[in-house]
Amino acid sequence: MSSDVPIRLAKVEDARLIANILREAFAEFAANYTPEAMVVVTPPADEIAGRFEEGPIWVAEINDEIVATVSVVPETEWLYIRSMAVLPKAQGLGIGHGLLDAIEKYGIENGFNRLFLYTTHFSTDAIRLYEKHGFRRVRDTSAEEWFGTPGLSMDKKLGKDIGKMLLEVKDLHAGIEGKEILKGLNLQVGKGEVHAIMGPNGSGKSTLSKVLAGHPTYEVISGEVLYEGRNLLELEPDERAREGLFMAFQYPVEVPGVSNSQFLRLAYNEKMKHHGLEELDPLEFNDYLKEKAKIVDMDPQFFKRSVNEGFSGGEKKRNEILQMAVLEPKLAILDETDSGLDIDALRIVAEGVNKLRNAESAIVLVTHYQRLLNFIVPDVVHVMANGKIVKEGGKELALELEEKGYDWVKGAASSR
Amino acid sequence: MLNQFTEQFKESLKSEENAWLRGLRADAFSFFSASGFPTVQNEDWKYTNVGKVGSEQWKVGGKSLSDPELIGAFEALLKNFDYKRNGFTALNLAFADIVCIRIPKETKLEKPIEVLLTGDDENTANFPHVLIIAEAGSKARILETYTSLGKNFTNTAVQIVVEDNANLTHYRVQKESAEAFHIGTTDVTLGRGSLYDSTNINLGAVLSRHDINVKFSAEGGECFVDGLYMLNGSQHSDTHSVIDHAMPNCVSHQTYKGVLNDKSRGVFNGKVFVRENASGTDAKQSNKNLLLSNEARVDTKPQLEIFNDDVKCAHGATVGQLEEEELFYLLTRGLNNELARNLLTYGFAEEIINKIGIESIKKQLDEAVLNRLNANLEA
Repeated sequence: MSSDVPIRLAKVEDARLIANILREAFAEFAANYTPEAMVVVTPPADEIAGRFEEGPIWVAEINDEIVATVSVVPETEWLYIRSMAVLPKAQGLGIGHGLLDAIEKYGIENGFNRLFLYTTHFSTDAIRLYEKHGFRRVRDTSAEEWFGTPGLSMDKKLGKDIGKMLLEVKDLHAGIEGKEILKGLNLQVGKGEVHAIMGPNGSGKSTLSKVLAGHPTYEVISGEVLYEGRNLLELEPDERAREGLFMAFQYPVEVPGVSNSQFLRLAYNEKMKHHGLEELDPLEFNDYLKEKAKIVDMDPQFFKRSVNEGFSGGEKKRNEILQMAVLEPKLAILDETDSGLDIDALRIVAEGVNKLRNAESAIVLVTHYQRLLNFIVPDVVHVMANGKIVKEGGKELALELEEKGYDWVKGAASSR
Repeated sequence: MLNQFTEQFKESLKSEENAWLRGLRADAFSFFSASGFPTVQNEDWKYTNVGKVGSEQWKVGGKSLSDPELIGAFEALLKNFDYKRNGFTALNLAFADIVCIRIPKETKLEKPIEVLLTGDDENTANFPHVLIIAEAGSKARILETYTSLGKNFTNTAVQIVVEDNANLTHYRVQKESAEAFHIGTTDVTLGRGSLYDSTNINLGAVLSRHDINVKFSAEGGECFVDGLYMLNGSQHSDTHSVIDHAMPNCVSHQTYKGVLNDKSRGVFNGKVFVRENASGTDAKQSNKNLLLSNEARVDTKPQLEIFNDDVKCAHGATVGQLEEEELFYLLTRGLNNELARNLLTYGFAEEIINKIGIESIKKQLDEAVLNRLNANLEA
């Protein structure tokens, strides 16, 4: 798909020509933008010149004439793509793909794990281009969010392991005290993905979490669970953890007399030891922990307190996400992490989780309510009923479920 | 009745210059000669067989203090010592190696007072008797430590008076050698509005017994009587406590914890009396035990005797293994089974050890606990 048109990094001297291209390319949509938005998508040359400070800009040339441009701005581990334009006369030559390839190469080489952008629904050609290039729609953005023009955000994860299978649950039957709760559950989770497992009370969501984490009172009756291609069920709970499986508890346990920092350092060092990596002494670990604590906005005075003892519900859940941040799991299962949280605590927890999303790992959100998924947008939503997955879909499924209620899918359990 | 201590007592009495004290010692020794050591037929000693103490040959160590002027101020307190409780209290007074501590009125001490009681050579018997008066409005901390290197017999008594509005923190650390015998009594009397906070750590001795008696003698007092016994091998540790709410509006808190491994055995007998006139009493008592082996055993008996309606009282005892849910939680964080168990056990003990407000001592005890667990938790 990539073009034969030469693409190069732009220089400050190109600013005026870049401004011209943007103006010309966006002219046909002018009626669809508010005047304020139009100013933003077609900035003047001096502003373009200033953008060279913020991130690289590329241009494509035909016969020494600049016909297309795009720029990016790093935002922590993500790359924000903006001001992409191809002159009408140069369209259809694969120049757009060429520019996106250049960005992707730049992103991978510089350790970014995601490309994202905002566009408008009326830019149908552009959306088609992004989707062909592997971008997916994340969510619709409102007019208030962006200069009076509604639109949508799109993203693409970067990294060589994208989509590589991390967890495969095949026809799993499991239960407790002789009672079968999971009745033939199938689930596939790839690297870089966020999955939501929703379902009514008693559908078996929590049982699935517990079985994956290896809780001793749950028994697997039949079926298979592969984790990175290995039989997960053969591993003890602590081995699973050291291999990168993490479960955030719905009801985190209090451990009196053991300080948070002591506990976290032991856990961290056990994992390091297991992987033949260097352990951290208390001082080094304290620095590491302080950095991680920022992710969930946690006061370092919590480090000295006993694990979860006397913590509020919100503090306990934040502490779970702090543990996740410290242990950097490959697969994190968040069991009803939103339960018992007020909206502020939920936002902090969700933002923390979002910061931990990356191309190498996956997150499974087990939740009864759609609310959490407003903050952590999943790639796939699975609906559980009566011990198996009865419906799968994109993030819209959660909204549909919220609207129609679980009765909508309960019937599906028997008919499938 | 003649016994192994008769000759030694005659000898030691010669050096006693105080007439009143000589008389007291002689009376106490006669009581011992008549009663001998208690046996398991005695209800209070039902679970703790001290037969081995009597069957060993002991050489009395230490020296009796006999400065008449110094001891004069403590005469009343010493005479008040109820030596007739049993053979141990009587024998202690007979040979009492007396230490006197007086914290003057309104004096606030920054540094703790340390009383280190160390067993001498093999097969010696020591009889420390510590008298502490915390005068009105004073504030101090006392660290009382018992150590020994071999087979010793420590028979100790501590009498404490916390006068009106005084504040005394008391750490008692018993880490005698694994072959030692340790029998101790602590008697505390609390004045009006006083505060007594004690933490009793029992790690050592093959056989140990500690009787702690706290009595409120005026209104508005408060006490913490907390402790830990951490035992392994064939250690036996017995704590008998009595908290006597003899006066109204006093508050007592008691938390005793036991960690028992191997074939060790623990005994906890805690009585709380709320007397008829003691309205407004608030008394809490708990004894929690963790059994780390199938052969370990604990006998716990918390008792509340209440003779007044206007009181708040709570008591309870638990004996069990580590909580499965706690263990699973730690496993899911990658700690192996042994490490997870050790960490939980450490945490269980640490709740008491964390009370120790002297950093160096707390650290030593942390290490002792970890050594006990044979664990490296890099605390």
